[in-house]
Amino acid sequence: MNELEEKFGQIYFAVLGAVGLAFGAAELIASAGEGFTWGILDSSGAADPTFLPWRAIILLSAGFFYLSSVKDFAEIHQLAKAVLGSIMIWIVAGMAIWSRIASSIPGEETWFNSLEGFLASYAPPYCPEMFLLPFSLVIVYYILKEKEAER
Amino acid sequence: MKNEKSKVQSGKLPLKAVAIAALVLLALSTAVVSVDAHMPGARAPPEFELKPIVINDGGTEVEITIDDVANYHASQVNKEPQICVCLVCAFRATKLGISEIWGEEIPSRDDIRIISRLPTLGSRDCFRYVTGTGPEIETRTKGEYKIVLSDGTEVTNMTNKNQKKLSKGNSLDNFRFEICRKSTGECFEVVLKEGVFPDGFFELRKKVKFDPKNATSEEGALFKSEWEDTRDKFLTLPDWKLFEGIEEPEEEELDVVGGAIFFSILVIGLGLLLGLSLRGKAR
Repeated sequence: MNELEEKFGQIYFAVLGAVGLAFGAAELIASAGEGFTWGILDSSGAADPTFLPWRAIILLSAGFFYLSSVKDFAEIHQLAKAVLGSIMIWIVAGMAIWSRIASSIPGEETWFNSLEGFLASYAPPYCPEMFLLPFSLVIVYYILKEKEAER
Repeated sequence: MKNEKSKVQSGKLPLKAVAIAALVLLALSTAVVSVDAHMPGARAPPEFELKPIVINDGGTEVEITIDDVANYHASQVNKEPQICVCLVCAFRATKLGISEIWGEEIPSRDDIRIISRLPTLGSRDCFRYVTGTGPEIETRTKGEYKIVLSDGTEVTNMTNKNQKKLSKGNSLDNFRFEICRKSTGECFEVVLKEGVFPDGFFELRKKVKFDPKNATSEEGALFKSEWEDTRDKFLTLPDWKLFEGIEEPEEEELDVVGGAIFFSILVIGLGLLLGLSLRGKAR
């Protein structure tokens, strides 16, 4: 990992960590009340109200891991913290995506959903973890870089 | 031989008499029943889904179904249980009133006050059952139920005879029910929409039920058919089609485009992931 890559990683994961923390705090507040839906962002917990506070805690933790990894980012232990933060997001987002896939196949009163119904079940709003998922994948680049360096 | 034949004939005579008497009795009983809120020979109701009214009776949650009310009504009029028009209308009105005032909350039975403009046996027994104010109802607490006619007269005589008498002049105007929350004073008036009862229904009812001698069999059959159709409406139509002031719920349009975009991204992403992992293995 060169200096530029390290600098970029520091700024990138600092921002991602801050966003993760903000989302986590919002979800935590939302879980105390009835939740909220803002545009395409959904923190209502309508589908899984009991899981909403856990989601918030996981997001907060991911945010903390990202932020704590920023200092001396190229160091392997620090990078591991960022990897851990990403894995936490992948698990929650993966569950959200899997829940969509599973619910998109059966119809309301039939065995299989219509094409329209199937596609519509992937429509917004989405939970914050799903928004963070693509951004968290950047860590893969740093993992590969680390692997290359090892060789 | 003659004597034997006459004996046989005299033996047949009582049978004939019994048959005739039975037919006369059957005809008479049908005539008597037709004055009631029940509709003899009415077709079975269609499939319907009416959720129960849920109330809190002194700390116990009680679910009141339409069948509970029909059974209670039957016990009060000494007839077989039947879901009649007024009974199901009162049931729907109570459900609507409670949801409008209490929302998701479960009302306490003693916090419910119902003021009805409708003097009929079916609605009387439904409202009495819900408020626990009728005879032979096991209840810990009691709400309030009264009938106040359109001219402001309060009906205190709740007997079957008096209710039938008062119901003679019923019209659409009587289908108004005030459901109130006693503790806060909030009230919601449930008003039936025009068109739920077909045109001329009440005139026909008056003729067929209270002046059957002057009603033709066609009029009787028409009334029965209109009665069945109206009952079916109360059993199956949504609130906004039955009662005034209830807005039609907006149908959510399916966001197919948004869903398709996300689904495409998901498929492409999974494809890339799979490709990368296979490439890694091949190396």
